[in-house]
Amino acid sequence: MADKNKKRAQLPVRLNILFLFVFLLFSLLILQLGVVQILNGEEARERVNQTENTRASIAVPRGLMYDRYGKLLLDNEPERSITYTPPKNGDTASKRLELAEKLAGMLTMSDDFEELESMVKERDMKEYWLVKGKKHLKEAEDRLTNEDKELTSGEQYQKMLDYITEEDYNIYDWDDPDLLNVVAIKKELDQAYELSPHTIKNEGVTETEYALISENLAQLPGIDAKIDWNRVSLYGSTFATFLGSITSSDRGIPKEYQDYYLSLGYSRNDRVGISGLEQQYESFLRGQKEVIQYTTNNNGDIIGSETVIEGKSGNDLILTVDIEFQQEVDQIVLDELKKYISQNPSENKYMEDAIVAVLDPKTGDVLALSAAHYDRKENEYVIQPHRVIYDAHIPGSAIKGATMLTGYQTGVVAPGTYILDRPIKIAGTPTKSSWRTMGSINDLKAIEQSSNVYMFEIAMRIAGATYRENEPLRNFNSEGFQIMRNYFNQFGLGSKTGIDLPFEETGAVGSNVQDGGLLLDFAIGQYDTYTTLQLAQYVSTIANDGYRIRPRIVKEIRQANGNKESLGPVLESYGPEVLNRIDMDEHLIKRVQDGFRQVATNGTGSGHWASNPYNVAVKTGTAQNHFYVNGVQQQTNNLTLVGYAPYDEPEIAFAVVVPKAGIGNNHSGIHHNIGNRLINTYFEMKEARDKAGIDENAIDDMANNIDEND
Amino acid sequence: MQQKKLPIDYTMLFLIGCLVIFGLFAIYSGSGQYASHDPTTYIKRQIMFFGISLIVMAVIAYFDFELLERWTLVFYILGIIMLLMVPFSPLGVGRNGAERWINLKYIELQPSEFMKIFLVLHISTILAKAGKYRLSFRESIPITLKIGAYTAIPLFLILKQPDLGTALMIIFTVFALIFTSSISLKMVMTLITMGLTGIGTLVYLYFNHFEIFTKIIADHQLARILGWLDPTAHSSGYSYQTQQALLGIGAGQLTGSGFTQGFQVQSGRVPEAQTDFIFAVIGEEFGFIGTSLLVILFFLLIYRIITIAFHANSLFGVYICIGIIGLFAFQIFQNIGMTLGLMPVTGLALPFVSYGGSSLLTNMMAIGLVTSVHLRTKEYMFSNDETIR
Repeated sequence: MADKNKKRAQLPVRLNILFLFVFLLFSLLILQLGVVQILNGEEARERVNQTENTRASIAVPRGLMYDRYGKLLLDNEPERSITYTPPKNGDTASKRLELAEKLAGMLTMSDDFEELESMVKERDMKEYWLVKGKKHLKEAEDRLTNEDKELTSGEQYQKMLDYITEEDYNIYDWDDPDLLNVVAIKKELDQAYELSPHTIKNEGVTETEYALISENLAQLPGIDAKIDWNRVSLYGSTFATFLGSITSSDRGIPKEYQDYYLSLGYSRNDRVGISGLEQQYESFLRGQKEVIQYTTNNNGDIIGSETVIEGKSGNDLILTVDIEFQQEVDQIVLDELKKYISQNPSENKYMEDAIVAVLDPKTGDVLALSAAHYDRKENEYVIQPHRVIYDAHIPGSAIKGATMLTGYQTGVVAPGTYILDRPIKIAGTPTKSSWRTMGSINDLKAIEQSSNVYMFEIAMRIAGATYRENEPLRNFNSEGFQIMRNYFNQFGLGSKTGIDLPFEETGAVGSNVQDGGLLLDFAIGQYDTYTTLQLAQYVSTIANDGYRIRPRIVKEIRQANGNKESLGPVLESYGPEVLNRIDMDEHLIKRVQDGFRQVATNGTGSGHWASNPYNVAVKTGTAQNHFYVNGVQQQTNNLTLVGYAPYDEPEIAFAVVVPKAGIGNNHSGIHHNIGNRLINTYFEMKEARDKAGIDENAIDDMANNIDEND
Repeated sequence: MQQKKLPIDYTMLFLIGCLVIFGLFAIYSGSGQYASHDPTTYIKRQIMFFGISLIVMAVIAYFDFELLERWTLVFYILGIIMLLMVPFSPLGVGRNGAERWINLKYIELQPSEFMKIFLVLHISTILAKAGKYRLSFRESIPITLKIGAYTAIPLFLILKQPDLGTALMIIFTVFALIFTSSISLKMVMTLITMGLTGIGTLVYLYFNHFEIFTKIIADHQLARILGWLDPTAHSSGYSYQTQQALLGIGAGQLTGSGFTQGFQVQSGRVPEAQTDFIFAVIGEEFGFIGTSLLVILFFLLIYRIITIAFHANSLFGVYICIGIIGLFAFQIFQNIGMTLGLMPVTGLALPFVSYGGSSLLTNMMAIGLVTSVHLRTKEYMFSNDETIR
């Protein structure tokens, strides 16, 4: 009996265990509920109620650029766009239709009926029918056969559309432009993917449309009105290289400088200057983006907005450049290059460039920078002004003013020192001589007639060398290179000119070898290379009594006032900045100035300059530029010209470089023609302006205008 | 010896009524109010389902369950045929990547819902035949194999659909039946060991022979399991939704956000708010008070069924009750556990609460069977050796 009882006790015991197990499971549920709802409930509640602050910044127009007389060079063109960003998991078709209907009241996809009609396809009409009528969806679903119901939902949808007939959708009036507009907008909304902005319209969004939508954003979930600015250069390619460029909003800030820009508060898709003045003056031009903080709840609905940072347009730049003069200079270099290449194609078969820099020697104002280039492959002439600061060439005798002043200052020659100009024969090097043997000449004559030998003597004396005909140069100290370059650098030759552009080339510096012949080459501009801008600064320094001024393209920065016809108040003004005063005494500089003037009146430049009415002082240069093509030496000359006018009260200084000219025509003088034309043009334009009463106060007048009008 | 026939178990019916009403509120709040034309559509249909189910239940309750004992094999075969119709007949219907339904023109049936009850009935028959006295290990072998074979066929078909939730429910229920039966404890331990070995093998395969593992466990199942083990690392669609549901339940705190005021639910962040995730609606809108009340209601329901099992005169009836307890307990725990992140996500509805005809009908059929057992229990005034005690 006991045995039987033991056996029979089994089921109730196990049933109790099962019950206990269920009890434990359910207790576990209650326990977990306690943890979730009581212990962590507060936190969960906060997370659900969380509001989120999102900041949106609105692009402001970038600063404009004007020339020195207040002519607008670089403008902004607004590009407005309306975008739609669907929420996570997208909006339902009926919500999209509702949104499209609201938007249609404010936005017209096209004013042209036919274009509007072409936007709306049959499928769009069917989809509209499906969503518009309350019972249409049900009706369409009922048309599906059992077989169709086996298909994937995408295929089923397609079937549903297939079953919709013309009769169905023609219950709506498809000749009504308003309806077409709604459907065209809905079509755009349908194409958007969750959480990524899709452009509904970005061409020809009118100011009214933009304003209407901006004001009603709260009623248009997911819709955004954006404005972006495109740069428009009003003078085409003239000076455009130096005005620079900015990135597209797709590219945003350049990857390689990402950290730099981000640390300055840029966002990744901001457009920034990447060349020219756009880059150099980025911090002024960019302005301050307007930042609006939107408060959204967990559902993504905007429940408030606040302007955190007031937007401010970028500041405007006033350039030193006279754009009309710049245009003329562009034309001059282009004409002359064309003329010389086309008139003498075999002689000038390597000629490709004519480069010009024009400065105001007293202030450093850049009046014009221009270069014409002949693209032999494409057989076309183009304006490529960047060559003024990027291309360096050996200049030839044009730099003899610097050699002479170095000679004075080191004490190896003095005003009035006579030296015998005769061929210099150093053992082991080719004979070096002037273009003609001049006999005994003084310093002034040496410049006027461009004596090489006088310069060689200076170089040899600086290097402490002893010259005996047909013997090697004895006691040559290669420190001579360093000594001479130190002085040259003071003129800007071989150093940065300091122009307000992000990049400038400083030229190639030859090595300081123990070879006296090379130092002699250096002394006549046959060794180191210089840019045209460096040559212009060098001659400006001589014209400006030894003061080297930093060339500048931007004269003033003015606050934007939202008006292109007038200017805001000055924010920064850049006066002439003296980089250094060369070490030489004023009377020594005067001596070289006299020499340069004599070049124009009696010397190597007189043939071209004696009749010029504007009292020009110049120095010419003809550098031998030999190079090899397919193993055959080709001989060309770099033709250079530096000068200023009027010689007693200089207001314009210039440098002209025409590399690789044929060796036979150096006296036909493309460089002189360019120089003459630009000097004449400059003074003619000046006279015309004086007559018309236009001067640089035009800028201030523009600013004053406003004050009065206000 | 005085004998008294027991009346209908009104407590149980009351509990079920409470659960269904609870469900109606949650269904309305979760999805019903967003139904396009008529916000009460879901409610009306659920009430209609309940009405039909109630009639079916009453019919079953007044039907003598003991007569069923001879027919359970027939029901079982009928269930298998229905299951086979899903993949092999044109009536099979697929949804969300699972093929679980057969379309009978006016209604869609989910054969696995019926199969689980038929299986419980048939295994109860087998176990009842084995008698109430403890079997030796050797005696347990043939009967265990038999049960194993009868379980394996529908299990395979259901896993094929795939429907992991129902499959696990069946395993749990069959195990509960074996555990409480006269089968030897040694055999029970052996089965547990085998089960653990199986899980161990899967884990081993996962880490060492992933290519074989993927043949056994489908990608989406793995994704759900990984999402359950580490919700933050696998924020797939599934775990994102369950996390949102969990956040909503938490935000309900003690008293809840109020009827139709739950932010997570109303903003559409909780998936399947009227069916599988209905507990999240209750959690967010009725708070801890609501959820614990619901769990207690369920517990009381199971307690009532256990009581009925204790009192039943027939071994067959006892096993039916145990099987139904297994089905309910697992389903409730799985569904609530899934919304609370304790269990991986499966498609099991919350009995009596979730919206849906098939599930309500089969659950009420189960209650009908329990009631039938209860109605046929004769309470003896004096204890008798012939009772199971």
